[in-house]
Amino acid sequence: MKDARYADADERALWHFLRLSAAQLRNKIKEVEEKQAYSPFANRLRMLEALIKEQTPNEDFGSSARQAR
Amino acid sequence: MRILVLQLARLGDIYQTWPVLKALRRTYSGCELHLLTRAKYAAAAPGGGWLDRHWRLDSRDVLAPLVDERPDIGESLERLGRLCDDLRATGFDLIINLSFSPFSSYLTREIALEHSVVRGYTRFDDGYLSIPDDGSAYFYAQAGPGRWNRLHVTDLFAHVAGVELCEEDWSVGRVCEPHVSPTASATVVIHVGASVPTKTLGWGTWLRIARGLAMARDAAVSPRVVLVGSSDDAEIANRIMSDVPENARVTNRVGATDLDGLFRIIAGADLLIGGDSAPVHIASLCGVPVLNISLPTVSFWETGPRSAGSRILPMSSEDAVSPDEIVREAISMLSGQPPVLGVIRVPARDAPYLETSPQPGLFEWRLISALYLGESFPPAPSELFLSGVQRLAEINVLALEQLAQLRLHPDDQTARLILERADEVMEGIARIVPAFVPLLAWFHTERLRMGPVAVGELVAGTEALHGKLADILGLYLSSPDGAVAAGDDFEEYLTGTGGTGHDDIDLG
Repeated sequence: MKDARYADADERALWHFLRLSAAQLRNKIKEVEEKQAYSPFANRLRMLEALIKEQTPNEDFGSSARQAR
Repeated sequence: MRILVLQLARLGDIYQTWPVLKALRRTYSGCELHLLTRAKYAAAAPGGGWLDRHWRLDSRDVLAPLVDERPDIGESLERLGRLCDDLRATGFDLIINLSFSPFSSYLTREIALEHSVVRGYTRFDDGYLSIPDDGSAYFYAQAGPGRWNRLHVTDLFAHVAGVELCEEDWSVGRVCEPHVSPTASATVVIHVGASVPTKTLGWGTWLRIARGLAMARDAAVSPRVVLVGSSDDAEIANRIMSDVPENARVTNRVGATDLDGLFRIIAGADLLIGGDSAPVHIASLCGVPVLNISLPTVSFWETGPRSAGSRILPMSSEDAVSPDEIVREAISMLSGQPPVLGVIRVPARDAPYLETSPQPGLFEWRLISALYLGESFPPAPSELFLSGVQRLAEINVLALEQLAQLRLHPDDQTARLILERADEVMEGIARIVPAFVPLLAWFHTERLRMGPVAVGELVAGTEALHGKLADILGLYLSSPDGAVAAGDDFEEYLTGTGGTGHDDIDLG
């Protein structure tokens, strides 16, 4: 069902949902990285965050020094 | 040896990677060669047995669970994880990341094994960006729109991959067998679209170009015109076709071919005209000359055509050159005549572009060449630049003093704050005098490459880097006209900072 929604969603709707996810993901990343040193799980969360960012133009993900140019 | 190349950018980048894939095959005889692309652009991967496996990242599939008021992050992570786990389980000896993106940097960290050599962006153990090789460091600091790099991305990819290209690497074999034209007249293919509108001309301009070519009275050429593009460009093509005279030899193939079909059309052409987009790179692979319309949002130095006989027409705007002038330039190419406009010429695939008129950014390019390629540092371009050198030198002295303090007292917060402020001032100087941007980009990139080392090592490394900056600034301070010949020893001295020991790339 969700896969079908991706196909049907127009760009604005897509960005809305992805930004919603990104916000939740950022909280999760903060929680994980505060508890322990950088882990494979943290890396995977960051990977997903980066993938979302590619699909959402002009998204401000904050000035994280963990992001490449 | 098992090699994975990551090319997660768009169609054009994948085509510009083809020569590097061939070079890897040739250099690592008997290797197992894998390529990872986006599923959306999978059709651009080379066939013909070049690859042992072609992997696909389906971004849409990974992100689909998030398209909901209650996004399922766990499901997305699982889908992403399946690809990562499979890649990691394959076990690569060499991972070459030609994607230069945050996402790809996390991916390479995820899939690299302990023994894997990684070239291109990846991550340190603390999650910070790692740039292990000089080629990627150059890309990070100097490449991209708005910067002054003049090295072509295919050559940069080759440097990152650690291979040297030869003519044979550009030969794509059977995929370039042309569709045989039934007539003897020249064929001009016009690509009417692009990935973004700012990279191409409007439909009205393309119409005038197509009509001008098809109706050319020049007995020596009199070409037929073929329009190509994706299905997204269909409306543009239809508008052009509705205004072209019936007796004009213009054929519309927009949206009517797959990529293999597009290859065959371009391979059979005498000339391709287009903006910065995939068909230009296909023409480069097929050896078909290109008249490349280069608008301001792209850097033709980085992504221009490579086929011999091509010409690049830099245009500050769509109105900068008339369609009639573009037609005349195209006809001059078809009839073997010299350029009529101020174009950049492409003499051969492995030769640098030839300017017929000076292009902007020459000082900055010469500064980059001095920093990375052992060329002489260029004379100062202005008094303002020399004044900036003075200010930077003063800030640099201050920074070195703080670093000396930190060497003795690592917890000195005042010294750290002063260093942060020094960075801000340096950035401010670069905003006032943009000619410093390549120098400071080099500096900041080399500092970034140091990674999560112990404080003592970090301070020592930063001191050494500031020392090199002082030496460069000293070249200008000690020479009134700012012209200094620094030679190969200086280049080696400059590139000796940062990296992880995997680097053996000579950009010279």
